[in-house]
Amino acid sequence: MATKPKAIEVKVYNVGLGDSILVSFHTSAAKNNVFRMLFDFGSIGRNPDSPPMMKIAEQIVEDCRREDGKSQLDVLIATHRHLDHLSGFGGKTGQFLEDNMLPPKRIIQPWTEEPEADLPGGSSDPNSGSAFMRQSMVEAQEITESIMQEVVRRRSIGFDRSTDDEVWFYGSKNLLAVSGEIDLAEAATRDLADEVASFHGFSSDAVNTEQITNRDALERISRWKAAGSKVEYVSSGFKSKATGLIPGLQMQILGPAGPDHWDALKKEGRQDELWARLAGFADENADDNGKMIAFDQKYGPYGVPPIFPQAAMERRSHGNKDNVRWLVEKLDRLRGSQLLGFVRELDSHINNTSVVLLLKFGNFTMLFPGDAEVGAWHWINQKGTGPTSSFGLPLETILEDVDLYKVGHHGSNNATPILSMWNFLAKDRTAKRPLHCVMSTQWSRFENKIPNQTLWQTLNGDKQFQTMATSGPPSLTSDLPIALNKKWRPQKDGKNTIAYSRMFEVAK
Amino acid sequence: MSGSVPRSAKTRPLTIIAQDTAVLDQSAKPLLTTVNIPAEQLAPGPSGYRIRVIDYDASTGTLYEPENPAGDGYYIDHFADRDADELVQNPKFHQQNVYAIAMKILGNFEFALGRHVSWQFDTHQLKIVPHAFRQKNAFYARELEAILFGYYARKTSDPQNGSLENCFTCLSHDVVAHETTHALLDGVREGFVLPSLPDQAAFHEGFSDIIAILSVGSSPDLIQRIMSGGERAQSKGLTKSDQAISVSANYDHTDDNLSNIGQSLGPGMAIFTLAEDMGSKGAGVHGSGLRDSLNIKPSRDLLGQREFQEPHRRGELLVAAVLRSIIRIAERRCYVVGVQNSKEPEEKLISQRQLAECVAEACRNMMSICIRALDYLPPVHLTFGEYLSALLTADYELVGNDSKYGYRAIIQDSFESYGIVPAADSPDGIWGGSNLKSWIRLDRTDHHAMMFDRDEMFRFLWENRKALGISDDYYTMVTKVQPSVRIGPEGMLLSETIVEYVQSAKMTGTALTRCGFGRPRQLSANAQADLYGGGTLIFDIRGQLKYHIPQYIDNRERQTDLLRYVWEQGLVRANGQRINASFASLHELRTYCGNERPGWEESW
Repeated sequence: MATKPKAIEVKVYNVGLGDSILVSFHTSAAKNNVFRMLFDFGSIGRNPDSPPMMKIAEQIVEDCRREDGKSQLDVLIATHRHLDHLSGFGGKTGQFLEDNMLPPKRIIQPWTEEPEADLPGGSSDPNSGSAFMRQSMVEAQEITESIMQEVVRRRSIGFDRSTDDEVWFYGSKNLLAVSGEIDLAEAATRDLADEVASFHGFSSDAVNTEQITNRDALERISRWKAAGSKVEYVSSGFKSKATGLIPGLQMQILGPAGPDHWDALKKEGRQDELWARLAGFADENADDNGKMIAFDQKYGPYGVPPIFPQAAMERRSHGNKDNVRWLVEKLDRLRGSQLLGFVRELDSHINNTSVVLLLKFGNFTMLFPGDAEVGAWHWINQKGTGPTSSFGLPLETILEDVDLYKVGHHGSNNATPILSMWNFLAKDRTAKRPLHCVMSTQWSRFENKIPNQTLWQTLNGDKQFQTMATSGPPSLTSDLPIALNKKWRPQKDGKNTIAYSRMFEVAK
Repeated sequence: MSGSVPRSAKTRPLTIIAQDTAVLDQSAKPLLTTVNIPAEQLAPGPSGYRIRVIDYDASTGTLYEPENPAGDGYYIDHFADRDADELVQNPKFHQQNVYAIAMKILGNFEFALGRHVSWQFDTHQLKIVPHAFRQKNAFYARELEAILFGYYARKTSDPQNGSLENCFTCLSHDVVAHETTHALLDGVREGFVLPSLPDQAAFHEGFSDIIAILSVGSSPDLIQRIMSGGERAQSKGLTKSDQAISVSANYDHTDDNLSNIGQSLGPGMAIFTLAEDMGSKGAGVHGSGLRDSLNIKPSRDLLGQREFQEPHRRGELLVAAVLRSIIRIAERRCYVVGVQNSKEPEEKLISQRQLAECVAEACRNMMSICIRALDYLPPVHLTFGEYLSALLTADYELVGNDSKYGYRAIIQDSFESYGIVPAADSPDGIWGGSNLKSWIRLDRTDHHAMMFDRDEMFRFLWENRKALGISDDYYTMVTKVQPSVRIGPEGMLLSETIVEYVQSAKMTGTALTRCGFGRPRQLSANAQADLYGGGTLIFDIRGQLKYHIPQYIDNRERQTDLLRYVWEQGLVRANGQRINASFASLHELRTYCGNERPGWEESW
């Protein structure tokens, strides 16, 4: 009798602000009937009941233990290079995984992570879309670092409330410490720019604390590759051989936009919105040699010298006139917000390199979009899949059929775009035909950002959306967060919750 | 004394950059010109009674010394007859440049509207910051009561020299005019930054572009110099100012985009050259918006296309419709002049100077009509169709008989070629008003007090709410009572009082449903949504109501569409708090993204 899909278990590790989700595919075979796929392992901030990351690493090893006693993933998906998706593969937790598991059989990463040596011809064509995209990522990182250096200095000038929140988000050093990534002593030695640098996966030149940058996590993946893991660097439409490892699994890769997309952009001389933004900002802040302006500490919190030094007035003269001082204070704060706005955009740029996966097992369809934001969905919708998908249906129809949706980017504003994605996904849902939503998030003090409050209310308020989240807003009657759909089973460790899991029958 | 006038003078000339630093004179230096603005006792800044220049750079934390154009017994222009290259590097000249251009635009508004225009904040002086930060952006920020201009590094134009130079957005006439227009429009119609259908945000951008281009185009000297000096002009053999140009009464515009018209001789080329120069050589802040406007081929389907839902792109349709109108009006004017010039009926020739004057006159007239039309708009939730009716009404009120040049037919035809049809239900597209008089009661209100007193005006509104169709179930407030005196092209005076009232309501999702409004899917039962409506009343000099231009708050169909749109577009937060249009982010998008949008319109 042929092996048939039987059930899927989805296990969401309580990493806090980050992602780590294990999907176990159960088949009808008598032996070796469970196959495991892990989406990411990273965090930048823990929930009140999150265990240390090492505890979760230990649990992953256990959850992947096969009948022969060895622990191994069939497929590892590293959706994109942000710290909240990869941090667990670096540092001590990454070493633990490496020591206690066999290398994953197959690893899937976005094509942007492909080493140049692996490209056709052995090196990257400088005129290719691939090089174009890479360059833009490098610039994104450089620019972000420069901006954040200025932002950090501006702390002494002051921010408005929302800017302060965002700086806190990017520079969550204490959160890193409590989530077990670094110890408090180390946290005290790091500055905000380093935090941001590590969040974005900068090269080790950018920060001194090399052991916790994403580079470390990416290098671990490279070592697994050297030890035998097959690695696929994918873009929209890529036919993954991972399906051969899991009987009955269908997989469609919707994103990210591939090198062809960037080739076309380059050929047309068009500037993609993100690339243009980067190039524009880089040009404005470049010195005569085309390098980003080095912000010199001697100019204090502002970092750069006046453009008309001969006409500059003494700083103390600012306060002489009340209406001048009023504007100066407000303008300084507005400038801080502007700079953070750029960081946010650049951040989206990297989010949009996320691997976006559609999986179908038996009669159960799941959508895992990583942190892909609205720009990526526009592309997927308009260009990414052609008139029909590999499932033989238009994308819209496929989205209408999804049973489980991993809420993109921890529930942020832009990652569940209404027109190009959500309206299809939410169409015709009823309590009998619900959409199961999984949100790995941290209910932080951001107003309406992560998770977005309107999205939260939609997912949490209606029975047609059966939503579980690893964190929710404190209720009116208690300090405990409202988060969990009761059908999801918590796995406790003392006061901590290691993970939530739920089994879905998938047989036709 | 060069560059100075006695203090008894009513106006004073100040030197400015004519268009931007890329438009050069015959000695290959940036083209300078002077503008006449009201004389006033300026403080250092320059700081006057409406505009205060504060030169603070938030990127470097530097306050720069202010320009002081006051002199003993004279008003001084320190920059008259100075070397243009030197002025480009002089921050004090930058300060004067923004002050003078902003004052000129303010003057254009006050002339057209026939009254003073207040800013949309409590104080009297708009702050202008010419070097606010290092960034390729410029925007009006209501919360700072200011317009902020950025600067950025760019490679020098000399290909042999790869070094960088600072480029200043405050030296671009169209950028300064555009941002000043945003501030003025906000002063005239504060409700236009509320969350609404796409036309409203698009109008803010398109209208600001229109005023910017018409402000430059109103100078015949500049038009002539641009036509004589530009590469396109040379390629057409139009380098000699005495060369005669053949004009026709009927260019066929039906299928051409404006750039094709621009390839022909005549007014089209003048406007095209002007707009393209502004789009391509400006300080880069507005991307290629003006150029794109020229290339939009007329089609009635464009408004519904996804591409044209983004505010700037949609605003380009408005710009295109106005530019097309101006070209045809200028052609009509050229033709009339050509007939006067020519003895032979087939040969109608005009000089380049006459051509420039026809174009400038068309720009001046159109600018006045465009600004005056603001008074004939509803105070919230504007659509392009309402603006077209406002344009036609504004022109009709001052020029009852326009058979000579046929402005209104041209404007209506040009707008309709882009799918914009008058909102007014009348054959000529003008707002109706004749049926109002018999139902309106004036016997309980003091006609005189109504013309300046908001409470008395509210009494009128309350007494006549049924006749005007205004529901008394909603919070209602008279926000503006503004007497105005306008001067028509033939010298005719028109006295009107413009009254604006706004209605608003806060309703929960449940209440919306109960009251028969559609509830947006994103709005939960207990969260609140803001509803806005209102209207504009126009009274004549005798206190008779001429027009009532309403946007009824209880129009359930329209409000349902509106609510659905603003919630889907993420223009309001989950708690119902509105997110006003941010000119900073809108302009940033336009600068860096052109027409590629990161999809910000799809947030929750």
